Amino acid sequence: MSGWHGLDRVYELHSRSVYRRALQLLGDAEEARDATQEVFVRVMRAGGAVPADPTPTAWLYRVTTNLCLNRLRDRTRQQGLLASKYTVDAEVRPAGETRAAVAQVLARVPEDLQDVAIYFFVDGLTYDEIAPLLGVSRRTVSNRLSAFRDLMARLFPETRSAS
Amino acid sequence: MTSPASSPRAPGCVSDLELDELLAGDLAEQPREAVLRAHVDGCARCRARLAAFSAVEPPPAATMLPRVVRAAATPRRVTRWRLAAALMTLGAAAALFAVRLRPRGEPGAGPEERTKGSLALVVFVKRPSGVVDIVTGGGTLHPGDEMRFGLAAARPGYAVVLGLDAAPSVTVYAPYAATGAAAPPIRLERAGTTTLPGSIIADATAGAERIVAVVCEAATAPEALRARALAALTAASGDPARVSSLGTGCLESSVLMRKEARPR
Repeated sequence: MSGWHGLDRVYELHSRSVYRRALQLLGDAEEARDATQEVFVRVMRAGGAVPADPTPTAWLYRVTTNLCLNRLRDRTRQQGLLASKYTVDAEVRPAGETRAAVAQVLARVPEDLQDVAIYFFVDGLTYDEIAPLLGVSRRTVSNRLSAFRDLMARLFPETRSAS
Repeated sequence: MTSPASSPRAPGCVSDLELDELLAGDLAEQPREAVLRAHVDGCARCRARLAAFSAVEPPPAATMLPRVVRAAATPRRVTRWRLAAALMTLGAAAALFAVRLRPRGEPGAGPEERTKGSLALVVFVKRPSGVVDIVTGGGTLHPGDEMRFGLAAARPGYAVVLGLDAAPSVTVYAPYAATGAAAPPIRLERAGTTTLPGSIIADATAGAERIVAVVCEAATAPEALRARALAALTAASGDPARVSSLGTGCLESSVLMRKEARPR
């Protein structure tokens, strides 16, 4: 796809999912519009090419997620996001009263653990789904989530173990 | 924060990402598509999620793409494009060139670029070396450089590109009329990005040149717009850098090129 003519087509196909993802993470339509613009600026700067591996949507999903996490560096907002998003999961079932604490932890963890945590806890993706999305092995996903859980347990020992 | 933009995934259900992939057509004719479709068809929850996702309305392309093009020109970094495909828009056949996105000036607000409404002008400058610079704010032009013009317009209309130099004079660059006969403005069938036909070779005249794209709702004779541009240039004391608007009432976007001798 060309960087110029292709931009129309890429936008037509993927703007909805990019905007939806940004709206999901940011919770604000105006910010989601700005984030959408930023994503497609990256697409244009990259020559209009959207990698098809694993899928174009997956690549844009990752870019959008990273950009939105950057926008959520504001700790208060991060905490709010995670407090509301840290849902009960088959593998991790934090008690309701610990959600705010979990959010505080996430605000402190390194970036490479943050996106894994978002995909796992917020999106409910499995290890096998997260691995190709991040371009890492399943084991790396597992290790990062373990590191996340260790950090959480260290900072908030009352939080229930993750596995 | 559950909303149409998000949907908690129940065990065994498809993920948000998979729903987005289905809607974007990423999985067309892949075995996984049939599996996911089968699940969605049999799962009321996922059908509702898919419906909610498809109902999300992103910012319209007509307003977003010009913003994207302008924002891509911010001076944060220079990107080297290696895709030959990008050059197809330049009629460069199968030749492989490096394309540089050459940012100059803040989008839409700086002294070099002036934009009215949702229109962005992009100037593709092909150097003798084969390198193509993509200029949206302002740039440098050397004798022999070849320019082509791209537009990202928020609406359909009729396009004309003019060159205002310090002579002072105004030249109609697009539509290109080889015989000197009056040519009609270029019809833009739809909003979005368009590369205009034809190219311009820079001469050896040094100095500033403002290249202005005008997109009008009605077909407006290029000569009429040229006269408006000449009036604006005269009002700016013949200095193209000081021309802020042609006052056409149409969408306008411009790039200020600095023409100078090629470095030895």
